[in-house]
Amino acid sequence: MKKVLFTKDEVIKLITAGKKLILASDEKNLVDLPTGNWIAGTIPYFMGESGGVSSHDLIFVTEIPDFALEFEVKVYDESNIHHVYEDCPRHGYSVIVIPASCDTHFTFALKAPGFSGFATRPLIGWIAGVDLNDEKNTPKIFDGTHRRILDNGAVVMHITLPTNKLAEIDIVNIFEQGDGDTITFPEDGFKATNVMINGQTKNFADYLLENTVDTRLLLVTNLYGAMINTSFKSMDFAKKEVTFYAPVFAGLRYKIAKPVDDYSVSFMKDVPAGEGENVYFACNCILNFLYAGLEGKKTGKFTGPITFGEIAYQLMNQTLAYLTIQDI
Amino acid sequence: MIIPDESDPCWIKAISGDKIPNYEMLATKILLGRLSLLYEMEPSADTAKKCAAELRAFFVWNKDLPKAQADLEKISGKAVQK
Repeated sequence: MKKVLFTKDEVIKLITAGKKLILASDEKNLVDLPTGNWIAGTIPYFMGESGGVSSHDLIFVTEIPDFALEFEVKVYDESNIHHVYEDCPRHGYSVIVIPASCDTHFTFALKAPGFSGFATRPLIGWIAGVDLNDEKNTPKIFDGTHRRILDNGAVVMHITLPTNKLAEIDIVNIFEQGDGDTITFPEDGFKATNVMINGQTKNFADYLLENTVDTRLLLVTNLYGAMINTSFKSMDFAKKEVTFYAPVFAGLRYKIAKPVDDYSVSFMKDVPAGEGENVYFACNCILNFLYAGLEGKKTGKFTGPITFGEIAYQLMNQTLAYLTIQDI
Repeated sequence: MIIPDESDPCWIKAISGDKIPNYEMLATKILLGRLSLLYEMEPSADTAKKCAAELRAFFVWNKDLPKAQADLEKISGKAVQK
C-alpha cells in the first residue's frame, strides 16, 4: 500500500518540491513547516498504510494528484463560510478542514445545508482535533501558503480537475435506523431537552434513561436512503439536557440505531473492497476508531486522518467519508 | 442529457414522493432530504417552485456524472439521453 505517514523531514522535502498536500498531524509537527502548497489540521490518529495508528511524530500526507490543473487555498470564518460551495471549482473538488468546537465549526454544522450551491459540488474534509488525553492544546488549522495558524475558521483547498475527470463523494456508515420510536426535535442544535417521541413531548434525557439506551449507539435519520448519524456526547441529568457531537435538525425523523453486534466486523463488511486505486481522500471518525477497535487494523484500502467529524458535503458523524476520481 | 424543465411535475413528485427509489449518488440523497424537509415544513406553491428549481439546478450542474444521470432517470421516469 502507498506510503501515507511521513516524518517531518520527508514532508519538508515534499513541500519544497512543490507538491500540493493535505496534512494531518500534531500541532508541533506542523507549526514550522515551510511555506508551500499545503493545508493542514491537527489530529494524531490515522488510518495508516499498516492500519489504525496514533502517532505524535508522524504526519499523514494526502497528495493532490499530479493531473490536477489548478489549486487555490482559501480561508473562511463564520461570516463568509456560506460561500464555500459557490467557490468550489466547476470541475474538481474541494477539501476543507475546520478546528473542532470553534464558531466556524458550529456555523458550518448547523447552516451548511442551507448555503447556496449545497451538495452541487464535491466538498469533503474533516474536523481537526487533538489527542483525547490532551487537556493543554486546542485543535488548529493551517494555511501553508501563508503559514497561517488558526483556531477558528475553515481552510479549504479548491482543486480543479481536467474535464475528463470526475470527483465523487460517498460514505461508509455501519449504522441504520432501528425499529423503535420516532424522535423529532423542535429546533436545530447540538443539544436537546424536550423532544417529540412518536408525537408526544418528552424530556430526552429521561427518555434515554427510562429506556436504558446504549449511548454508544446513536441517532440515525434517513435522507432518501442516506443514513446520517448524530452521536451522543453527554447527558446532564441535573439540567435534563442531552448534547451531541453533530447537530440534530428540526423536522427530520430520527431513530436510535439498530444495535451492532461487532463494530469491527460490521465496519469491515461495509467498507467497499474495490475502491482503493480511485480514492484520493478519506477520513474516518474517532468514535469508529475507538468503538470498532481499529488500532492496528486496516480499513479496507482506505487511509486518512481519524477525526472529530467528517465532512461529506455536510458534517457527518461516526462515518467514513471518501472521495473517488474517475475518468469519463 | 435532457433535463426536464422546472415546471415538470417530476421534481415536486420526487421531493414529496411516497415512493423513494434507490438513488445512487450521496449528493442526490442529502439534497432531496433537505428539500423534502423544506417542502414538508412549508408546503406552498412558492416552496415547491424553489425546491424544483434547486433540484433541477443540481442535475444541470452534475449532468456529466453517470450516477446523476441514473438518479435523474429515476426522477423523470424516462431514459436520459446522454
